[in-house]
Amino acid sequence: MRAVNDFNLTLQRGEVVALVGESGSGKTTAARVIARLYQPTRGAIMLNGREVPAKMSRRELLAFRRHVQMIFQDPFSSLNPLHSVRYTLSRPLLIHRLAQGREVEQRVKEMLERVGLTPPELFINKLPHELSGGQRQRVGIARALAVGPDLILADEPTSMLDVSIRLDIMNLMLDLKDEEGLSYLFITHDLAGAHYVADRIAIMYASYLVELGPSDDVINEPLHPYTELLKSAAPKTESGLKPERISTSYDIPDLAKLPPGCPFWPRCPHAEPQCKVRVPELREVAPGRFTRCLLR
Amino acid sequence: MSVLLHVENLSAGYVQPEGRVLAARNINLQLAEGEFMGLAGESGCGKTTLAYAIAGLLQPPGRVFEGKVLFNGRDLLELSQAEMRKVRWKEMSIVMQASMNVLNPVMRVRHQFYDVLRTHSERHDPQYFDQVALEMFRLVGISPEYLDAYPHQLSGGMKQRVAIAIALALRPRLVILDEPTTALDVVIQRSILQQIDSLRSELGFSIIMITHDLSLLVEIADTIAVMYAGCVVERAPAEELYRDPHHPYTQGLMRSFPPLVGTRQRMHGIPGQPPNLASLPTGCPFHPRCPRAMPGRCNVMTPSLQEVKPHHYAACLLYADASSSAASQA
Amino acid sequence: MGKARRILRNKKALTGAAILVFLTLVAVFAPVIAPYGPNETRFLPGQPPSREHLLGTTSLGQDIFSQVVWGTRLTLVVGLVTGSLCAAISTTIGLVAGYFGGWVDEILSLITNVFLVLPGLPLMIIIAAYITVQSVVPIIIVISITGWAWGARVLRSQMMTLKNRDYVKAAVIAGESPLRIIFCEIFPNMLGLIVANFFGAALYAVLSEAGLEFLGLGNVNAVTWGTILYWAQNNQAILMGQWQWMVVPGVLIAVLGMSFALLNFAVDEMTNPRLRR
Repeated sequence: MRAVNDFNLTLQRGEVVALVGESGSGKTTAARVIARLYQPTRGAIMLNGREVPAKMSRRELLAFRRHVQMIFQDPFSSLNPLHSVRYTLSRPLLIHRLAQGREVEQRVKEMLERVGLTPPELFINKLPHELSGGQRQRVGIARALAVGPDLILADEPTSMLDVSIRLDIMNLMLDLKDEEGLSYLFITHDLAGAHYVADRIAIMYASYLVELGPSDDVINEPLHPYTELLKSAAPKTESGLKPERISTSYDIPDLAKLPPGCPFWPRCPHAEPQCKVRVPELREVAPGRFTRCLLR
Repeated sequence: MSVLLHVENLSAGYVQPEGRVLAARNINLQLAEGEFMGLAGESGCGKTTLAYAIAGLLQPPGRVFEGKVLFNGRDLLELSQAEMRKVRWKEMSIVMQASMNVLNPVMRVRHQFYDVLRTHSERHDPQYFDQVALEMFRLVGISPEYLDAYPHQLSGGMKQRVAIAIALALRPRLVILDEPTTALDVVIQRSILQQIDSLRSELGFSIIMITHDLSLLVEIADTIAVMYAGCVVERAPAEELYRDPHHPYTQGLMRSFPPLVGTRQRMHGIPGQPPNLASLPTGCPFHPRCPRAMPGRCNVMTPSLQEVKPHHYAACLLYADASSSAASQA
Repeated sequence: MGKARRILRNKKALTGAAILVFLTLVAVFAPVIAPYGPNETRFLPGQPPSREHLLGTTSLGQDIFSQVVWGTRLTLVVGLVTGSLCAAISTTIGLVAGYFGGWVDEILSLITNVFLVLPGLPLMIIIAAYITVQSVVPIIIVISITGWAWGARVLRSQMMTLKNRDYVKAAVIAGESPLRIIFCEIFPNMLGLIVANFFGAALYAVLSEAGLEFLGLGNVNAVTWGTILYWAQNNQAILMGQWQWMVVPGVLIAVLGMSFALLNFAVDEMTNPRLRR
């Protein structure tokens, strides 16, 4: 049983790509494989034009981690409850030898200011339980930024935060992107959040990438029936209060028991006999617009 | 429409070694028969404490400090445990947060129904229980074969629907839902909310739904009450709240949801963070974060809920009467 | 500083610690507190309690009170050393099995399960019966070998849970080495459980030690509360009306055990906020 199948994605420098899907879609696994927390069974990851080898020495792994970092979903468990903010933020600097001695303290304070935790003296000694969810998430962002990465994998960074704080965190990430020339892979189940933050959106369903394209295009003219389903299910406060009724109530698919053919056909309002035969290929049906659906 | 539930001046909270912490202050709510009221607020606003206080489920160190919960004319807070048990499940039921964790993992679903029905209805025959269980499963859209399943064999969405089915088994007049869809995906979430809504049309019960996600309520509730720092800061019919929010917090919340379609542009949430209930600012609890705070007034006087338009109430000094006696002290 | 205050506020911790401190002081100051040596047999045997002999004398003419006071030393030492050894074995095996997983875990878990299933007391009795060396060391080893398995299981589970926490993954991504992850990230978060496990092991050690000695399987010439019980039983103390000879050491063993149990509960309560009432 594979959590991720046939995943192909190219990320440009300075670009934000949102990976959208429900739980069990494989989006988190994809991110963790890219972060080299897990090993892929098959396939390659290319960073800056060079392949990232499957087995790396400690030195190579450390070098890799300077380029690719991660932000976690749960601000309550992504920081070690016994370590102060200072410790958590100093470690990346010390491990990668980016600063020594007194310089470390200075750098940590700068990092806290970059993510909006000012004055830094107020936060540097605090333990995680003394910070709010939003503040913890900012510390997590600072930690990811510490090594000056090229790519940050953000695993649902706002889904466990209060609604009024989410925009601030997303705005912070966008500002940092402009200032540092970062790229993001923004993983989320919230289509509206993805639209707000990303240049391109990739939709995942049952371990497959089913649609990919520029953010506006994917939202306004979805090519895959699953994208249409997500769009109609998403809460819309601006739609003038006519609640959309969705026609399906099937639960998310069990990856161990996927039917042959397109993984979405049991829920698809447009399913045809040809859909049940083989998993369709991800095809480019228009410049930059990809979909894994036989009907386009 | 007759009034089913009338919460009068309810204050509830927790007794800590350092003193009392009020999580719900001076709450006044009215719910009519068949009405869907949404209670919106972020973490730490006291909405769960309020729900538990209404359902009589507050455990020490939680306590109701004052007020009444008038359900069908009877004050629930005055009832003994035995009398309260008669009310629970039969007239009022509650579906708690992450209900998937509320199902007993070592009992089959069928027996969990039996458990509730045996304790709270007058009947004892399993045939009746099975009949009810089957009917509820039909209503929530789960195939009857899952009656004999264990909770771990069901998906998150199904467990939630089972919890809802059990809550409705005795056809209560009021169902309280505490964050019923938080841990679920967006498609299942909408599907469950649709189901709840159609069940309400079919069975005619009232609903209080508590959530931090205002966007869900705007589409589905009749009335919405917005809570902040333990107080109801605005209350209005859903459509009215959506079109014309008065309280700056509500306005800020409405602006915190990026639109799904439309052009992408920078938006801003509400700066700062929700206050610590144990150490609230003086005056209006929202003033430190409020873009329209009036220095000298908002940090001194605490606004109370006032009617700013027909059926539309807001607790904000911007709309207080010219005579300062209208805004009361805490 | 905050931790010290928390300890002082917890009644169980306070009581348990107070008992332990008191008994330790008795052990340290035994020469001062006890009026006579433990093995001096120059007194009239079989005496009831009196002013010269607060607990009376044994059938051999030794002062029981002195024996009890002096016996505190060895009882405490054996109890704590055994508890530490037992806890050390549990911790090492539990942590290694939990962190590395794979075949390491398979083998260690198999060993743990075997030791879990073996009935402790009968095994202890059999092993102890074969050992002829006259010292307390065999007893320490025997109790440790039969008692580590439960703690190892618990600590292994805890390690496996913590290993999957996001902050551990975050440490991996930040580039921490596995050694630093085990000792700087995970271990401090397990300290509560490890300490609680130690107190549980110490309790087990004290009671097992007393049990084995009472059965005569320890070094019967050493002076511990357990051996006092042995000699009392052998000389039919209760039949002779010398009930204090049996009861006092017995109660003291229970009290020492209770202090460890209280400290165990207290550490549990302090580290698991949900247990605090």
